[in-house]
Amino acid sequence: MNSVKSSKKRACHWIKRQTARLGEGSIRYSIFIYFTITALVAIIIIGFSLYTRFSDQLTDEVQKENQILMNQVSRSVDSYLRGMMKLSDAIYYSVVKNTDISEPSIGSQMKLLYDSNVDSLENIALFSREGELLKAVPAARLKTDLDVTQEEWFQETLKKTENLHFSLPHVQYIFDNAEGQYHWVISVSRAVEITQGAYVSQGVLLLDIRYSSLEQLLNSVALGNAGYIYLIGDDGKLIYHPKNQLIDSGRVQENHRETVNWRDGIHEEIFQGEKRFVTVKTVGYTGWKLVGITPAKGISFSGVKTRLFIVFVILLILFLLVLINYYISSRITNPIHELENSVGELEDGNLEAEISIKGSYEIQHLGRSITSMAQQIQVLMKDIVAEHESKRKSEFDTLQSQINPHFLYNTLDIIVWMIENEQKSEAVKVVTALARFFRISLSRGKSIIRVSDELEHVRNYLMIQHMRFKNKFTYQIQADDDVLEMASLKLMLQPLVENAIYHGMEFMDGDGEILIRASKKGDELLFSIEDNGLGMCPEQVERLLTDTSHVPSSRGSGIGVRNVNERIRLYFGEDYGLEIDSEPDEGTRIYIHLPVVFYDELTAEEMKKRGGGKKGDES
Amino acid sequence: MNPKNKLFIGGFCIVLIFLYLLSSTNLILHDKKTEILPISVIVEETSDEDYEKLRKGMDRAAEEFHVDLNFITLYQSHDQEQQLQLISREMSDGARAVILSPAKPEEAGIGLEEMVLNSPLVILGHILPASQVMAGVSIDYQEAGRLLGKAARENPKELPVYLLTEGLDYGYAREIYDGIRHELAADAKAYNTILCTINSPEDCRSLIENTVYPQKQESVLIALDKNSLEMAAKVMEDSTVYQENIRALYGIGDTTRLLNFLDKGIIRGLVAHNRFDEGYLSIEKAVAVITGGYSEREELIMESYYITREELRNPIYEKMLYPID
Repeated sequence: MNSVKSSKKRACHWIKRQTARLGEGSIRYSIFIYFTITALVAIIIIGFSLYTRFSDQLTDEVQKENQILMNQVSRSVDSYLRGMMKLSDAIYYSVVKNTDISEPSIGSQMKLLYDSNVDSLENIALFSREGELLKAVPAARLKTDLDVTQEEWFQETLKKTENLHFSLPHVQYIFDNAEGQYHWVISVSRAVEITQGAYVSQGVLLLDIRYSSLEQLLNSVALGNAGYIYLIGDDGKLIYHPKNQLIDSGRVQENHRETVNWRDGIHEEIFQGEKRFVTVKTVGYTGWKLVGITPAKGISFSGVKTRLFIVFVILLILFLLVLINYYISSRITNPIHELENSVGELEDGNLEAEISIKGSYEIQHLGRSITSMAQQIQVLMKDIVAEHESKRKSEFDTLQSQINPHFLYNTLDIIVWMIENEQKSEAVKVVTALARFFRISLSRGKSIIRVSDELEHVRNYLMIQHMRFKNKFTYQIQADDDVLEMASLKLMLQPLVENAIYHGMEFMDGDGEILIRASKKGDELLFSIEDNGLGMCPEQVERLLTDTSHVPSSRGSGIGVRNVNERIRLYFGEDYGLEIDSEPDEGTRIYIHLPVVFYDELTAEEMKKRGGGKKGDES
Repeated sequence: MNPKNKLFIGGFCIVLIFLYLLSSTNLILHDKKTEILPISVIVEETSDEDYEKLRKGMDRAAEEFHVDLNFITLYQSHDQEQQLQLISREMSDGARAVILSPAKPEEAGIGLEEMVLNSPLVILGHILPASQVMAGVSIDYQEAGRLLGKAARENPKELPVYLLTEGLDYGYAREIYDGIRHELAADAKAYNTILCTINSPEDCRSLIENTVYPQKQESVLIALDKNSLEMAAKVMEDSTVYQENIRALYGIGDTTRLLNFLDKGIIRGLVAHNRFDEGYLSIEKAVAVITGGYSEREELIMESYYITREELRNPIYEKMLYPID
């Protein structure tokens, strides 16, 4: 009991697991399995329906055929028995009745009738009411000591004189036979009037029908493969059965005792565990019943090969369905799978990836939507980047447009001091330098200026700082002529020089030196700012370029080294920017890598981009 | 298509091909062909006249089991040696099985043990020790003898009981004899039994004559075999004196001639068994042995019945004694 329960539990668990697995599987797997299961169920239902239908139809047909056959056999038996009855009538009415028994014609006419029916008749005999044998054909004598009046058929005949009596098959004992012979007969007897001179008395006419002649009518009839027929009397006793002897000895069983109570027609019964169809047909006058037995297994598709063929057909259809399902599921899922791969590429960041647009309308539509989405993402991302860059540029532009007020205050203070000390020419120089410094700083809002302007700008700055720091350092600016017309970033050198002054030289003993160079190196424009100041360790250099927490000095311009680097990259690309080479107590050398672009060409390109409508602004 | 799927489809194809071969060809599953089995039956008599009922059973079984039946009689009754020769001949001629009604069972047993047989044997009688003898279809002969003895005890004990036989070695006469003796010796005062061997009707006539002349002595006769019984019945039929002097004649056998004697009152009682069934069962067993559905040696014991004239027409015995064709 427990094992059955645990088996059921295991089975339920397995089904749940498989269902869950099916739900988690790929679309192709799910489609394939669902289609196949559906097809299988459909095949089984259709197959079962067809099998049942055909089987029932076959059974009906066989039963109809059997019924027809049974009717024919019944008619044959009936006709045979009626033939015997007519013969009895003929003997009685044409030969015996109203003819004196002593007439020799009786014997000769009986002999004539016997000879014409010799295949069916064993004996014809006429008995007196007292049991005396009056006539017999063929010539026979009664057994000694045998009293015919005690025979059942004799008594029955005289009991109901108006009827013809058919006995059950029996061995005919009453006559002396040749040794070693016995005859199975069916006795047909009737009461007759016997004329003896002036007297008429009652007697019995006996016709012994050969059992073998009846047997011949029946034993050649077969119902299907294993079917047979048998004949029973109205009391259920067997008259004919193909296995009569074996039934009598109990080696074979038959259901004839039950069948005798059944009405004419087709019945079903389970006999000895076997289903069979029983066709019952009553035979005319006698009331005997002809019974046809057809085992159900003889009708249905019961052969091993037939069953295997049915299994083969089901499996073949299933196999074809599996292949078709596989093809259909592939047709449906392959475009989805390809689309999934494309989306995977998109997920990995490749917005340029080609989106597969195949398969059915819905999948193609999905592919197009994803393509459109990717394009929109690309546009949005470009917009975001552009916006971000614009914002950064704007920030830098804001920064570079603001000169540290301390720098301006200190410079003006120097100018005031110079005027008070009558150093007018020096003051003029400083004012002039300051003016030029601011002019270039503003540059009408431009971010890109000529290298010559940038150098001029840093020169003015250095001049002011040189005066302010009372010649504590010296500076030198060297530039190749071919680079002066090239494009440079505005306020690029000043923050770096400022750093060199404030951090490199302010606390240094002795005179500082600042050397600024601009030259073309390969396909690059190279600036270098070199000082002999305190220098920096590698960590300081790293921090200088990356540290975002740096707070600009109140004394400087407010534009940090990091910002300069970022601005260069922003305007000229990631390949360009700053390179710092510094060692403590050895000074610092900063290189600025810029692309070789001539200022005029650059402005012309910008003009083109802006279009004709904006040409007026340039002018 | 991945390798797993290919493997699945390949396997499926193989299963389909196999099923096709199974269901639609004769390569693997062969349609059942009706095989005709040649089986020989060797009896101990020179004529098959007395085997009519046995043959009817055998013919019925032969029809059912598709047997080609060859019924063989001897040149001389009870010739055991010839029976053995016939067994060899029939087997070498292709008989798939031989059914033997041994003339002298003991001799047959010895002879068969010395023979090399290539087909199984079924004995109409007790199973023999030879390995090729696979079945025996028999009655309990001692019990048959007891039934006869019991019937004979209806007669006064003073009457001598003559036990007629062609020889105790023939058939199962000895077992019947033992059964009769056992029954007649059951009481304190036993019956006087006299064993008489009769080889001819003259012997039988002489024996019966001796009960009348020179001194008339009422007697009881019990025949241990059908031939002796038939001879005694014929002798008695010819003379009312004999019929009066022989108080009762009993015997074993069920031929129609014997039944007629019973019907006429010459024989008082017969021990018989269902010969139709005996024939049917012997063929059934032989077929079972040939087709391999029956591998253990087995002896089937059939019931025997004591039948009197009054019971002759009893429907219970009618089909047994007069089987339908």
